[in-house]
Amino acid sequence: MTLHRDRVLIVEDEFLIGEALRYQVEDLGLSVCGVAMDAEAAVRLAVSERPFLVLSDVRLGAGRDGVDAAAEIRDTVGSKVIFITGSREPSTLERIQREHPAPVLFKPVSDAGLRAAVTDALKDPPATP
Amino acid sequence: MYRSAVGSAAEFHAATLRGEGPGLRVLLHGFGTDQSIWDSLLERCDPAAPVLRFDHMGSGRSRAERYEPGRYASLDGYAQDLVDILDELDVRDCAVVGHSVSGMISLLAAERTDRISRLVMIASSPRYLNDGDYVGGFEVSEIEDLLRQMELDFQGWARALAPAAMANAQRPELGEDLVYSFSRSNPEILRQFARATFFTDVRHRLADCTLPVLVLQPEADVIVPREAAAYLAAGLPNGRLQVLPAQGHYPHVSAPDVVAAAIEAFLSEAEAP
Amino acid sequence: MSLGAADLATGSPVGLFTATLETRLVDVNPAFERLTGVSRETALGQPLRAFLTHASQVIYALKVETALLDRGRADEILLELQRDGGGLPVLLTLVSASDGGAVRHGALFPAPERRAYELELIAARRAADEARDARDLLLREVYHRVKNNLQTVDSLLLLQKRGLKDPDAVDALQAMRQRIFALGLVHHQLMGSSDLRSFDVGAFLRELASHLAAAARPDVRIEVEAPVLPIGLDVAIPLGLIVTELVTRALRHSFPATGGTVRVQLTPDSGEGATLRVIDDGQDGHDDAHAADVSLGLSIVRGLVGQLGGRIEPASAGTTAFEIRLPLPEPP
Repeated sequence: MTLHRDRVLIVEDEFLIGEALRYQVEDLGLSVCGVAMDAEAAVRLAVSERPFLVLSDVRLGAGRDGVDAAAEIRDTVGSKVIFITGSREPSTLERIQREHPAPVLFKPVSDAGLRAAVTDALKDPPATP
Repeated sequence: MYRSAVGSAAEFHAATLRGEGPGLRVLLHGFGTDQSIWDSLLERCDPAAPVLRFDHMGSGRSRAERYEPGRYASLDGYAQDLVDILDELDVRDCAVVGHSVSGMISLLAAERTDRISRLVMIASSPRYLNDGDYVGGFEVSEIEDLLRQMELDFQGWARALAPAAMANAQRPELGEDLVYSFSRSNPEILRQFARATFFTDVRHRLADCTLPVLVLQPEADVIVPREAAAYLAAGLPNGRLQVLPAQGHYPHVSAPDVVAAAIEAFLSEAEAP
Repeated sequence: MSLGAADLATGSPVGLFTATLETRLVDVNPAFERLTGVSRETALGQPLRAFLTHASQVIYALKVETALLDRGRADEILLELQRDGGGLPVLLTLVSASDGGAVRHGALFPAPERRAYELELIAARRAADEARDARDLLLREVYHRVKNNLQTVDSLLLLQKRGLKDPDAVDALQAMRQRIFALGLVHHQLMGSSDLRSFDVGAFLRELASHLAAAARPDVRIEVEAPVLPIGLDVAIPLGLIVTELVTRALRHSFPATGGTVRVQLTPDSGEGATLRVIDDGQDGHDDAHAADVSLGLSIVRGLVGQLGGRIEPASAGTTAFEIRLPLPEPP
């Protein structure tokens, strides 16, 4: 089952930030298959839409966080993940490296920073689920 | 005088190297002391032999800000420090002389590197806790009691340990800062070091060490019973026990002539083809 | 021993003893018997450590043995005597005979109060550590919230910009986003700093420059020369905005057709100040450099330089576009 190479899923619990990210991604010539606001919606959308790339916030309010969601999506769908976080907590960054090594962008995400990370991610083959 | 590179493991552990050439001896201090503990022994050893000394993490002039609780939760972290320093200096074919817990640290390091060819262990024990027929000398409750007492005498430890570490501080006002920073972080590190030391058990790893090992055990040692030293020497395939006519846990300080003679005899014998 | 001296030893509330160099007891006084609960007859000939708890015997080896070997005496070592129902805390002081003879003199002081205040000290230290951790956690959370709010503002600007056709309006919103990025970057640096109060100005300016460069023509480089120097929030916010304005301005006006280099230099002066220079090797002569506050950017720069207590030097010869002298107080 192949992934859609031009398709990106956004996981972000804040509406405005999610919408802005959608525009930034679309400006890169990619399509956004959805903006999930929690981990469950993220996994559901990833399974049905099969995006090549997931841009995921780390904190997602109550419930499972973005690292949990990303790990499940990688294991079941095989999408690549870029984390987006406002935090610089060493514990959070360590957990990402331990449980799901992936690039991390810090908020506020600049157009150029996003472009570089996405271009980089698209170079590699998808993870094998 | 050898000066270690900034940012190197040798610098973090205040390593000092005397002399050069083959036949390097690495001297590892034990718990609660620092590299200066070897001064009187060194005066009586072969002055031509190159000697490397350093301070374990949290001891002496080591850089306490490099402390990582995970790395130093067991003796393996301390062993890796030794390996890192030997790698950095590209040491080959060295002898490691370890006092007390450093005997076990050198054993663990020898598993990780082939840069070590002989070991001398002074007043070392493979396990401090009694276990069935094995006589380690202590019950769990006694070790817990020891750790509690160490915490109770937090300031006392800082005062007792800091001056030795700061002996070379020429400027007293600098020394005071150092004593303060030492007493701020190091007693806690040393307590964790004590925990790692007294709860360690390397009995199952003795058989894998095929290096020639000399086990030097003082006659009367409150910390290591004679039985534990005998067990250690017997468990090492090339181990040999030598009981020293010395009192206390620090024969290299209280009876340096005897210890120096034993080490020189062992090393010259092991060096022979 | 004179009668007076014997009285002293007999009546002393402190446990007194003499011992061999190996610290085997040669004589003890009645207070020693009371403290240890052992009669004089039983005690004589025994090593002192035999009366300690097993844990204290280890502490004795680690501290008293080393001190005697090192200095010939041990002072105020906290140990526990083995008594029924637990250890009795005492302070041990042990010295060698003043005449150099093969004998040691020692004293044991009961120290229940000492243990009590050590326990208090431990509790106080824990409380202080916990308070510091709680404060750090709160500060990190605040920085995190501020950053998140800035991201929300940035998102709003991005959404707004998307609906606009007027290129001037698009430019204005884009310039606003750059300013907001600079504010966010300050909080980002603070979150990553060990004291949560200050961070290295050089690393900050380099990260800011690399962000600004990403929005410029690919053949324009931004080079930062800055020392390793800690700055706090109060300086970093205006400084970040000043550099953002000046670099953005250089990028806009100096490279209409060809590439080049913008240099950001922060040079410490003797004393508490520094000179900030933003120089470029582009073509434009910066016609508007001193033409009053024609743009928002320049009025922001003037205002913030004033806020920092600095001054803008008249443009020097060559290509120096801006030279600003700033006081750089140490962070709080």
